Amino acid sequence: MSGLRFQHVFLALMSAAFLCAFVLPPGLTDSARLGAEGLFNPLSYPIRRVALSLDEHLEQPRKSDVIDAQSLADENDQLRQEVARLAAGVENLQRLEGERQTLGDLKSLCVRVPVAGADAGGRDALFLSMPRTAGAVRENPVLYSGGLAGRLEASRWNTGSASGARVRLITDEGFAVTGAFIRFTNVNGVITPARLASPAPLVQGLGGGKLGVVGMTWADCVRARIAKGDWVILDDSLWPRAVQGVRLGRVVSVAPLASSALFADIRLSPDADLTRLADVWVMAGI
Amino acid sequence: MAFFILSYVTVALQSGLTPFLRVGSSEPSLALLAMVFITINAQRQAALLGAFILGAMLDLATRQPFGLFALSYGLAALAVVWAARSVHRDHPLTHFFCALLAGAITAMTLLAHARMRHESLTASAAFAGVLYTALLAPFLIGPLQKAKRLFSFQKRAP
Repeated sequence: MSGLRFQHVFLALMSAAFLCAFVLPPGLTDSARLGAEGLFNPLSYPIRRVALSLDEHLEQPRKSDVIDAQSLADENDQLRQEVARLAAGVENLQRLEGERQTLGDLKSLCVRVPVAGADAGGRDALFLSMPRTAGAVRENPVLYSGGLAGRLEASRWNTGSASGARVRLITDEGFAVTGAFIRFTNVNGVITPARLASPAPLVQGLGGGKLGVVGMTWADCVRARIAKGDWVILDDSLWPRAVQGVRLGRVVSVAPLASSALFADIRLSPDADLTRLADVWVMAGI
Repeated sequence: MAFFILSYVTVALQSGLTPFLRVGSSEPSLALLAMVFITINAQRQAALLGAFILGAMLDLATRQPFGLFALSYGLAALAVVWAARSVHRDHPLTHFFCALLAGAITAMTLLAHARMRHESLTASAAFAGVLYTALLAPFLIGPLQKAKRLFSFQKRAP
C-alpha cells in the first residue's frame, strides 16, 4: 500500500472512530457490538478463576474451625437481607391488596452464571460466561450474595446461541435507581428492619466501585437521622416486584456536600467489590 | 497471526485480571503495553494499523463507547512511532517513557470524552493509571522484546 493511500485509509478509520466515540449516541454503536460480548470469555474466564483462587488464598487464610466467626457473620447478613426483602414484599402486598405476588426464595427465580471477566476499559461492568439458558433477557436484574449487582445489558440467550452477556453494575457511573433507607433495631430481643422516614433516595453509581445518594437535602438527612451502617434497599417501581427490598449498599459516610452545604453527601458501599465476583444470579423467571 | 494472538491474549488478560491488579483506584492497561511493543518494533504503517486494531478489540471488552480506544490508541501510536525513530528499542527506559507517552495521550482522550459526557473521571485517577502502566512496562515489554522474532517485524526504512 503506498504511503499516500495508507494515510487516507488511516484517516478514514480514525474519523470513523471519532464519530462513533464522540458524536454518535452510544446506544447506536453499542447494539452493533453486542454480538461480540463473549469473544474473550474462552481465555478471560480461566484467567479470572486462577486470579480469584489466588486472591482468596492470599486475602483469607483458611481457618480450621468448623463454624468460624466470619461464617456466622455472613449467615447473619444473609438473614437480614432476606428479612429486609420480605418486609418490603409484605408492604407491597398490603399496598396492592388482592394482586398475586411472588415472594418465594429469590434464587428459585434465578440462573447462576459464572463471571468471565470485568470491563477492560475502566467502567464498572462484568462479562458473563453463558450457558444455553432460556428465559433471561436484556434488562433483567442481576444479583449476588450481598444484594443487587446490576442489570443485564446485552444478551443473546433468547436466540439460543451460546455467547456472553454484559452486566452493568450498580456502581457504574450514571446507573440510577430509587431506594429506601432501613435500619435494624432490637425491639424486645427481636431484630426488626425499620424504614427511615425520608424522601426516596436516588442512588447513583459513581464509578470505581462507589455508590452515592444524590439530590437529598441535608435537612431531610438530619430529620431522618441517617447514619453510618444504615442500609439502602431497592424501592423502584421500574424494577420487578420480586427484587424490591434487595440491598443496594450500606451507608459508609454522611456529611454536607462540600460544594453545596444544603445538600447531603451520602456515600454507600456494596457488600463486596462487584468487579471481583466469581458468580452472579441472573433473574430469569420474571 | 502472532499480532492477533498477542492482541487477543492481552485483551482477555486485561478483562480477567484488571480487578485484581488494581491499586487504589488506578488500574494498569496491559493492552497499552502490547500497543507500545508493536509500535516501537513494527514499520510505521503496520504499527499504526496494529494499534488501531488493538484499540478496536479493546472496545469490544468495555462499556465505553465503541471507537474510543481505537481512536486513542491510533493517536498514541502516531506519537510513539515518531518518538521511537531515534531510541534504543530494547532499553527499559525506552519502554517506560513510550508507555508514559502513549498512556498520557490515551488518558487525555478519555478525559476529553468524560468532560464531554459530564462524567467524573478525574485527571489524577487517569494519570495514576498511566504511571502504574508505565512502571510495569520494563517488566512486560522487556520479555516480549526477547520474543520479537515470532512477530516477524520488518526493518524500518531509515
